[in-house]
Amino acid sequence: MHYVILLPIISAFALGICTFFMKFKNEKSISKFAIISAFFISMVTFCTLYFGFEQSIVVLRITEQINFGFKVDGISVIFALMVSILWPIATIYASQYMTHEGNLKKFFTFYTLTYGTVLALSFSKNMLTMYLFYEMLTFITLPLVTHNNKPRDLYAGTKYIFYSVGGASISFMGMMIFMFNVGNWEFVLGGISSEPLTTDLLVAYILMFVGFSVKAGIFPFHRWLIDAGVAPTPVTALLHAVAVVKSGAFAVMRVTYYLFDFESLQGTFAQQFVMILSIITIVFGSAMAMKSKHLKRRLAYSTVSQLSYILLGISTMSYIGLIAALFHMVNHAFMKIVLFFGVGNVKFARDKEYVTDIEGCGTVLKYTFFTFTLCSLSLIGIPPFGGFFSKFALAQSAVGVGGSLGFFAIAALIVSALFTAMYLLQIIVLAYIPHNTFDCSKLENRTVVPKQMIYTLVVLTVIMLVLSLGANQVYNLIQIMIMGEL
Amino acid sequence: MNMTFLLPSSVFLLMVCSMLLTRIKDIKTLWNLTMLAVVGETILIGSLFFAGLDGISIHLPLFSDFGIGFSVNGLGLLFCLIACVLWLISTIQSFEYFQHHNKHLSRYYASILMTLAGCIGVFLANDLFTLFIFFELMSFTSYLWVAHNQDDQSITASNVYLAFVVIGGLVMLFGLFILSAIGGDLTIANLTSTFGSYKDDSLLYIGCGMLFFGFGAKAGVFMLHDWLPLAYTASPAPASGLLSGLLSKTGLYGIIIVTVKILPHSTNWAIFVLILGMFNMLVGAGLAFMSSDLKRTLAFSSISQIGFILWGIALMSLLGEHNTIAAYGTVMHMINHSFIKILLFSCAGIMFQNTQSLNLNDLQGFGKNKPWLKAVFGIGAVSLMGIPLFSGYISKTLLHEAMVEYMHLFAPESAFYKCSEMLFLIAGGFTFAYMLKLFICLFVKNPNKKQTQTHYVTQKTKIALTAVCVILVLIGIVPNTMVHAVGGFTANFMDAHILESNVAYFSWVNLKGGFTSIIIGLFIYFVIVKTTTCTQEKGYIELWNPNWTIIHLVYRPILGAPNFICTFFARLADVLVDIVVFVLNRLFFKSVAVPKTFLDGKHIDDSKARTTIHITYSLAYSLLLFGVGFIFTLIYLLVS
Repeated sequence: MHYVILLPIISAFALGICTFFMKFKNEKSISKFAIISAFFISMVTFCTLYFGFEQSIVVLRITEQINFGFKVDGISVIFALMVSILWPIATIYASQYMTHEGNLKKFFTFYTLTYGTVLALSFSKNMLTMYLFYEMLTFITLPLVTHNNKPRDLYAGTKYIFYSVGGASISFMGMMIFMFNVGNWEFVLGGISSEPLTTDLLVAYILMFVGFSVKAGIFPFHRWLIDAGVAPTPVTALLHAVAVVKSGAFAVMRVTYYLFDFESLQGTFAQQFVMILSIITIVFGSAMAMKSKHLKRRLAYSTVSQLSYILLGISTMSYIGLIAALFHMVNHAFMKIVLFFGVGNVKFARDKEYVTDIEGCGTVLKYTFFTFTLCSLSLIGIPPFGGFFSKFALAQSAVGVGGSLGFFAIAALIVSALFTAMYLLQIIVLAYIPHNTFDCSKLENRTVVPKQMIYTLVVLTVIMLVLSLGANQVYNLIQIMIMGEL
Repeated sequence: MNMTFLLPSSVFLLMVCSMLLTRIKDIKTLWNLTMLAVVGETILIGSLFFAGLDGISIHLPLFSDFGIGFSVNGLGLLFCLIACVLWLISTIQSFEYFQHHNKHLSRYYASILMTLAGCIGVFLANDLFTLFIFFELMSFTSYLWVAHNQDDQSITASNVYLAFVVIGGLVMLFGLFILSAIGGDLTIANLTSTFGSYKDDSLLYIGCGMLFFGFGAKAGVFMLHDWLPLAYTASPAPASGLLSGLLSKTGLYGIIIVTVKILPHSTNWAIFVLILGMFNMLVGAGLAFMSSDLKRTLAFSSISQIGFILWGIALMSLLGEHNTIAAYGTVMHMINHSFIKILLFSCAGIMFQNTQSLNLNDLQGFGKNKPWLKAVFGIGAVSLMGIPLFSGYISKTLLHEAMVEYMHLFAPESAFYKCSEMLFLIAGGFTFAYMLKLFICLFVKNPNKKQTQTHYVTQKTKIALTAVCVILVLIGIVPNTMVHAVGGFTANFMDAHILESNVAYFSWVNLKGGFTSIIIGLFIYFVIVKTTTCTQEKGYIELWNPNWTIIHLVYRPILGAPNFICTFFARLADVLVDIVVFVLNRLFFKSVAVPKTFLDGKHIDDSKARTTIHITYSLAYSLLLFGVGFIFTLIYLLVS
C-alpha cells in the first residue's frame, strides 16, 4: 500500500511531460487538458492522503544516511491538502487569464510540473529529499516567472535564481553541519537526537532558517519576491503567494520542528536571532506595502509581511506556535490568492496596475471587488473572519515566549495590522467611493472578465468564509494532525 | 415557549435585508423596503420586552473562547428600542431629503440597515468580544454615510473617520486581549466579579484605558472628538442625526461598561472620566457658539452634551452605593440627547433640502413664517438648553443633584468639586447661549433673501418629528413617571438601586440651578456672542479656524514622525540590499551592464539589460555557490 504515496507525484510529473509532448488542436484544448490533469492529480492526492497516511517509502537507498524517500505525516497532509485544493481552482483561473499572455503549452507544462514538485516537497521523508525538491522547485518555476521573455522578466528571473539558489546553498551549509554532528536527518517530530544543542548546531539552525526562509521572503532577502511580480498574475498568485513562498515556510517548519528538539531551542540565541528577524520583516513588509503604488508590488510586500507572521509563529518554538503558523498559512493562502486574482482581473479587464488607477472600479467589477473586500477584511484581521483568529493564535503563541521579545512580537502584530488596514482599505475605498467628479463611464465597455475567472474568486472566497466560520474545527484538525490527539 | 431565537434573529435578519437592498435600484421600492425592515425590527425589539429573556444568553461559538453571544440587559434593550425609533424617523425623512440627490441610494439604505444591525448587536451583546465585532461592523458601515456625497469635504471627513475607526478598533482589540489575558471571562454580566480581584493590577488599567480609547473615539471624548464636526457636516442630515443620536451612544454604552462594570468604585478612574467630561462640556460648548455653520454647531453641541453624560458616568462610579440618582440622570440625559439631536438634525436637513446650504448667513430667517418648524426646533432647543418643563431640565437636574449628593456625602469642602459644579452650570449657560443664537438666527431675524417656497416639508416627516416633540414635552411635564419607568428598567444593569421617592424637580433648590444657567447663558449671549460672532456688519462669522484641530496640531505630526522614520529605514535597508546585489553583480559578471533596479512605479528600461548572458552566468553563479558550500564543508571536515 505504501506505493500509493508515489502516485500523485508520478502522475503530476507524467501529466506535465505529456502536456509538453502531446499534440493539441488549439490553445483551448491545452488549458482543458491542464484543468483535467490538475483535478486528476488533486483527486489522487486526496486518495493518497487518506490511504497513505503515516506510511513511508524509500525510493532510492545509497547509504544509510543518503537515501531518497517519501512519507505522509500530519504536517504534510495539511500542506498537501491546501495545495491540492487551491491548484485546480487556480488552474481554471489561469486557463482564462493566460489567453492574453500566450504560449500556453510551455506555461501549463511547467505549471503541472510545479504541482508535482510541491507535492513531492511536502511528502519528503528526510532532509536530503526535501532539499532536492526544494532546488527543483526553483528551476521548474523559473520559466513561469520569465514567461513573457521580455528583459524585465528575465531580470526578475535572474534575481529569483540568485536569491533562491543562494539561500539554498546557505541552508546546505547548515545541513552539512547538522549531518556531521547528528548523523541522521530523518524527519521526526521533536528531532531525532536528544543530545544537548551545541553552538555548532545552533549556527546550523540559523543557517538553515535563514537559507530556507529566503523563499519565504525574509527581510534582507525579499527583493526577488517583489521583482517577480512581473510574471503573469496566475503565477504571482499561486507561486508567489502560495506554493513557492509557503514551501519556504514549510521547509523552515520541517527544520525547526522535525530536525531539532525545538523545546531545547527555546531561549537560545538562535531563537532570538530568528525571532528578531521575523519581527523586523513583519513591520518592514507592511510599511513598504503602504508606500507602494503598484498594486501587485503592494500585495507582494504584504506577502512578505504575512509570511513573516508564519515565521514568527515557527520561531516561538512551541506546539502552539507551530499550529498557529500552519493555521495562518492556510488562511493566508486563501485570502491572498483572492487578492492577487482580484488585481489580476483589474489588469485583465481594464489594464490598470496602479492604486490610483483603480478609482471607481468597484462599481464596474462588482464580484471582483466584493470578494476582494471580504478577503481584505480577513487579512486585516477583523473578526469574525479567519485572519483574525489565526493572528490571535499567533499572538497567543508570542505571549508564551514572554519577555521583551514576546512583547515586541505582539506590538509588531498590532502595528502591522494597522498598516495592513491602511494599505488595503485605501484600495477598497478608492474602488468603491470615487470622487464625485470622477467619470465612471470611462470604465465601461471594455474587456469582459470571463465567467470562470469570477467563479474562481467566488469559490475561493466561499472557502475562506468556511474556514472563518469553522475556525475552531480547522484549528483542532491541525492540532490533531500535528500532535496525534487533542 | 422558548423565545431565545429572537435575539440572533433581530440582528441577522436585518443583515440579510441589507444585503437584499443592494440589488434594488428603484428609489420608491428601496424606501418602502427599508421602512418595512425598520418597522419589523421595531416589532422584534418590542417583543423582546415581553419575551422574558432576563438572564438567558445564546452563544454561537467561533474560535477557541471567542463566539457571538447575545443576551438582554435593561440599558441595552432600552437603547435598542430607541435605536429603532431613531431609525424610523431618519428613514422617514430620508425619502424627501434624497429626492434631488438620488445617487448611490441603494448603498445608502443598505448601510442604514447594516448599521442598525450593528447597533442592535452592540446593545444585545453578551460579551465584550461580540460587542467589539458589532461595534466594528457598525463603524465600517456608517463610514459609507460620511462618504456618501463623495465630494472633497466628505472624502476628507470620511478618511478622518476611517482613521479613527481603524485605530480605535485596533487599540480596543488590544485592550480586549489584555483583559482576556487577565480575567479570561468577558461576559458583560460577570465583569464585576471577574475583575474584582485584580483591582491593583496596573495591566487592568492599561487594558481599560485601551477599551476607553476605542469607545471614546466613537463617542467623541475630548482629544478624540475632532472627527465629529467633520463627519456630521459631511454626511447627509438624516445620517448625521443617527451618528449623533445613536452611534455616539454605543460608545457611551461601552464607557459605562468599562467604568461601572470593570472598574467599579475606582476613584482615580472616575476622576479621570470626570475631568475628560468637563473638558468635553466646555470645549464643545465653547466651539459651538463660535461656529457659523448649523450642523457644525450641532456637532460641537453633541461633544458638549457627551461631556454631561461622561460627568454622570463618572459620578455613578464615584458615588458607589448611592449612585441611584447619577444612574437615572445619565440614562435620562442619554435618551434626551438622542431624541433632541435627531430632531435638530432633521430640522437642519429640512433647511438644507430647501436652501442647499448650512451656513447661518444663508439660512437666516428661514423659519420666520413657518410656525410648525419654529415650534419643533424651539422644543428641541429649549429641551437642550435645560429650561424647566422640558426634558433637558429633568436630566440636568438629576446630574446636578448627583454632584450635590456626592459633595454632601464624601467631599464637603473640596474646592475641586465645587469648581466642577460651577463649570457644569457654566457649560449649561453656554448651551443656552448657542441654542439661543441658532434660534434667533433661524426664526427671529429677517431673511437676507426673499423666500418663495411655501411647501417645505412633507406630511410624513411632520408627523414623525411632532411625535418626538411629544416625547420631549412629556418627559418635561410628568418627569417622575417617566424617570421611574426608565430608570427602574435600567438600574439593575448599572448596579444602582431603584429610586424610592420622587425627586422634587420644581423645588426652589433645583430651579435655582436651572435659572443660574439661564442667567449665565443670557449674559454670554448678549455680551459675548452678540459682539463677536454675529455682528451687524459682517453677519455670522466663524471665529474658530476649522483647521485648528487636534488632528492637525497634534496627531498628524505625532503619527507622521514614526511613519516617516519607519519608511526611511525601510528604504535604507532596501538600498542596502540593492548595493549587495550590485556588488555581487560586479564581482561575478564583469562584462554585463547592471540593470537599474526597480523603483516604485517605474519599470526597468528594457533596452539596457543584456539578459541572455545573465541566465547563463547565473547558472554559473549557482555552481560557484555550490562550490563555495563544498569548500566550506571540506574545511569544516578537516577542522573537526
